Amino acid sequence: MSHLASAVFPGASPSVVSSLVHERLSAVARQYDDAAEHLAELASRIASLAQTHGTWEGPGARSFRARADQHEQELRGAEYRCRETAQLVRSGAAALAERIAAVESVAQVGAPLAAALSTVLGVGLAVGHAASAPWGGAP
Amino acid sequence: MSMQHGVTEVHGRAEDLQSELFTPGSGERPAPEGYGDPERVAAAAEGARTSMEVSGGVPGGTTITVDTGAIRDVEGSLAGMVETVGTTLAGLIPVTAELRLWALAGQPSLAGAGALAELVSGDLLGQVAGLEATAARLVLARQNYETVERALTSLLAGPVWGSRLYGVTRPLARDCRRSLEDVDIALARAGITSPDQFLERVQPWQYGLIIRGGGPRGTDALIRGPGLDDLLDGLLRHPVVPGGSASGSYTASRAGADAPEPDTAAAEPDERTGGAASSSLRPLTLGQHARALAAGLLTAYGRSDKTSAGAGSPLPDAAGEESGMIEAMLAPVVTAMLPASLAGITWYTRHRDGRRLTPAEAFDRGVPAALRPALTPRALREARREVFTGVTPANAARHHMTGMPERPLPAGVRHTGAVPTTVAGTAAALKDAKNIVSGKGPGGEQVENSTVMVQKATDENGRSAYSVVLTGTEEWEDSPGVHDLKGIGQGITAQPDATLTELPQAQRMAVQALQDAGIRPGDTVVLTGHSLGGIDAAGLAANRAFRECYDVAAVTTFGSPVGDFKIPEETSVMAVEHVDDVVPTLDGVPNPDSGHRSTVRVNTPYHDALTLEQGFTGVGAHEMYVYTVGARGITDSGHPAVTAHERRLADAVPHGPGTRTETYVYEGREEH
Repeated sequence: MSHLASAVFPGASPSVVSSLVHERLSAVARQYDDAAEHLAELASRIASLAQTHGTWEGPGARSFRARADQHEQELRGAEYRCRETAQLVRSGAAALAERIAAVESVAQVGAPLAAALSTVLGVGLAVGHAASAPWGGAP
Repeated sequence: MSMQHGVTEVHGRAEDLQSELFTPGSGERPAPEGYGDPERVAAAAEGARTSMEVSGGVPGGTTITVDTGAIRDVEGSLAGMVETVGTTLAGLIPVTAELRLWALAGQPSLAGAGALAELVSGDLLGQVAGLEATAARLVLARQNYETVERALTSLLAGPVWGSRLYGVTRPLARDCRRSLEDVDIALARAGITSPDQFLERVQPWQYGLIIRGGGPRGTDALIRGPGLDDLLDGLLRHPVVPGGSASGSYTASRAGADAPEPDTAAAEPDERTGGAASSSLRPLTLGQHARALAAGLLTAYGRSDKTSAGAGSPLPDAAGEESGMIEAMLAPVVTAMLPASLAGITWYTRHRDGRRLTPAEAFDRGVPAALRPALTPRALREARREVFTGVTPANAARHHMTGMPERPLPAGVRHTGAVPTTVAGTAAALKDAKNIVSGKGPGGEQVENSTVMVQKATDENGRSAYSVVLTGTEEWEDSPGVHDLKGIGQGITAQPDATLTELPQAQRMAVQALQDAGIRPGDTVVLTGHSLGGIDAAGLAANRAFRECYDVAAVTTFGSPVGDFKIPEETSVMAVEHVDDVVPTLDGVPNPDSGHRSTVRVNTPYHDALTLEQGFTGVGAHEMYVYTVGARGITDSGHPAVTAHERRLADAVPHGPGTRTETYVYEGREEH
């Protein structure tokens, strides 16, 4: 048992840590899902802004529409990446939770993971973290 | 039926060829050479969609419609979006940092998530900067409009607008502005933001610039600067005959002076204004004057025994056709250039009777002599006899009709044979009609498509409408067929008050086919045409006798000079033009766009049309395959003018399940 792990998780059972890790990473994934939703909304909004036909025909109109198209594509790209990130986080969460639950003692998770757990979850499995606060974005 | 000179024979009645021409399940259409890559075709269609500019077609619609209040609203929306993206980014910063830590846990998917999260942050940071830049450009654009608006309402504006120089240079200036905007768009698409990237990805090209990755869907952008077509557009709009004095007598006599038979070279006063027969109070432009003069000269040459031998070969070889086509296309260029280059000498030289020559007189003195060598082989000869044959299932093979598998369409373009109700559909139908007869006959001889196609759509309730599909020029001389140089001569000088028997050949054949299809007075007709076919479509729509018989609901033209045809507002008219196509400029007048009449100008979507040797003159951009591809983008645009025109088509033409389509074809030949 490493010194770090024993200091960080005194007496915690692997199953408790596992579920905390899963819950924590699921919250992270949800934030990326939320961000993806916002970006999708923005992409639709800029697509509608680009529909200036009828109100703006003339110098600069095509250029604006092309740039708006570009922004829409980029926002859709960012949306896609957010969803991918969320997906990866979820699968990572499941795998990591399984890995932790499989050990007899939290101390056996190894130093790198223990360091991550201690930094993210805090000494003594403290809960309550900036990441679990509600996301403050406005549509 | 009789023609003005000679005899018209109508052989048989056209019968329904729908199953011969549009057999269901006959397989995929082959793609023509160069149009086989669906992704490339789709990118070209997108290029057309994003480059289109529309004039008219909606109430109050003009070339430039700007609501600066609306632009200000968009600015506000963009500012809000910048804030939202910034807030989203701020919300993700702590979780991105956390993922960086989780990435240390030794779980590959978390490491991947961490890397992606970094990319997302970078994306959003870029979006904030990009949206801010776009908002700043909008502010600049709006301020420019407001400045221009103030200038246009100033005291100086009137003289500038009224000056001849303004009229001549306007199309050139318009295309310079358009090209600069194209560069701006391509740079944005390519993401070129630094001088180094510019040097690396922007290359000169024979007609302009290539911007790597600056086209739609990652393609390269070819920016063709202003060309001969733009120069011509301005020159041909130059007024040369003062309003109210367009008697034509002087022009006719001078034109005849160089012609083989002076007395037969006279262009009638009304003919000089083409199908619209414009008010004589309006000055005639160089284009209006030149085309009537050219038609008169060619007709005069045709009546001369001297030229009859040289113009006898109906079917030139391919090389001859191409050079002849370029020659014929360039003839108006020479026509336009000559008076311009001689302006200093001729326009201000006093006539021997002490009178100053009008520009038209100066033009008529110099042009016929200069053009004679080029025009003599293109003489238009009177037909001694013409035969219109109704094509039937029994004689279709003899007339070289080809089924769907032998009529190529670009990859991704479909036309199943139903009467189309979209701009994209009409373009596909046109290209299809162009290929009804193509290639070689049984003896290996070249077979000219000398046909006119009419389709009839009937719904379950028995309501019918008719579509006339008129194709472009096949032969650039007076050939035995109908889509030839004489067709152009007849089309551009057709009179709106001509009787149905005095119409140009192709139009008379269309009327014949309509009657065989069972049209009744008051029935609805829609007309579609490319190039010469567009002239014929507009000519029919402008003809009083035709309109008195039928309800002309819509006209759609591609690459046609139709500005001089007056078409009443009951008809929805859309003229599609490539910005690099020289042909639509040849009428010498702007299209009279209004609420019922629109012009859609798009960049030539297919690069091959610009890179061919015909790229400079604009002839390559005239190809109907290129229009067919671009029309897809126009239909996809959702522009209100396009929507309104397509709604008119859809209202007029029965379509959808239960609709029965019939197709009638006439073939026309003439003997000299």
